[in-house]
Amino acid sequence: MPTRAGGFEVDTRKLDKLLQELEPKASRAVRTSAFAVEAGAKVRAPHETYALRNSIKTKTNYEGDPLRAIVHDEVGYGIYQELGFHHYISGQFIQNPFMIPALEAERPKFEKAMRRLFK
Amino acid sequence: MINELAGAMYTRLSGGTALTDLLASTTSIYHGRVPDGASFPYVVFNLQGGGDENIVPSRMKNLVLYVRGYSKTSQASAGSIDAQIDTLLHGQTLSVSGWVNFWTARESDLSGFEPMPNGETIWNAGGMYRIRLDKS
Repeated sequence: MPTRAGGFEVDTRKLDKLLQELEPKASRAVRTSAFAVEAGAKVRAPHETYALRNSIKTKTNYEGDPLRAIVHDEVGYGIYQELGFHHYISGQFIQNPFMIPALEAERPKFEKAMRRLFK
Repeated sequence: MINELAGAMYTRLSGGTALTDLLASTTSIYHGRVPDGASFPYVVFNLQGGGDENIVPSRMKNLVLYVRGYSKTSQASAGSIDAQIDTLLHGQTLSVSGWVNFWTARESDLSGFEPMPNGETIWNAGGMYRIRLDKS
């Protein structure tokens, strides 16, 4: 719609249309990357029973926001594998990060996808 | 490159006397693997993620390192170690052999504890540091 700025009237219809088209495209990029992070985390997750690997899930449209997605696991020990812990008997330090490596591997592709939206 | 970065991290952290004064010894700084039975307090750092940027013809790395202190004394003790780590790393330049370190910044803070079956608690405090390198 036309917008008045000082003594000028700026016709923002083209800009409004661009913005309208931008959100669904950005949402698609967010969802694509979120599922790629989920896949990457599943590949990297340590596995013995596969409980951790099978629990990794993605929620898109998080809290109703099409530009937010979360990738999470649903076992209590996932965070300990990610950040490290001391074994309760031996005291040995153990760490098997899987989520942040997956996120960082996807980061360049996500940034590229977002940059493409503005070209 | 991992070896060079690990060497630079070790040199930087072990060179900070205000940090090593808080640790069990001046060598209580470990890259990923902590020797069994190592005395507390100590520092652990590891490559948490990242890799090549592949956005320019020259080779660039964009890496996330998780650096934290562990203590059996208290959360405050772990926090003091973390504060010294932060002083040594955030906004500083590492000497990484064969690479130019043009970005070192803390991105997130983490702290927690592990209650052990023998009644002891292991406290930790640290952060994720983004380190960007350009092949020199």
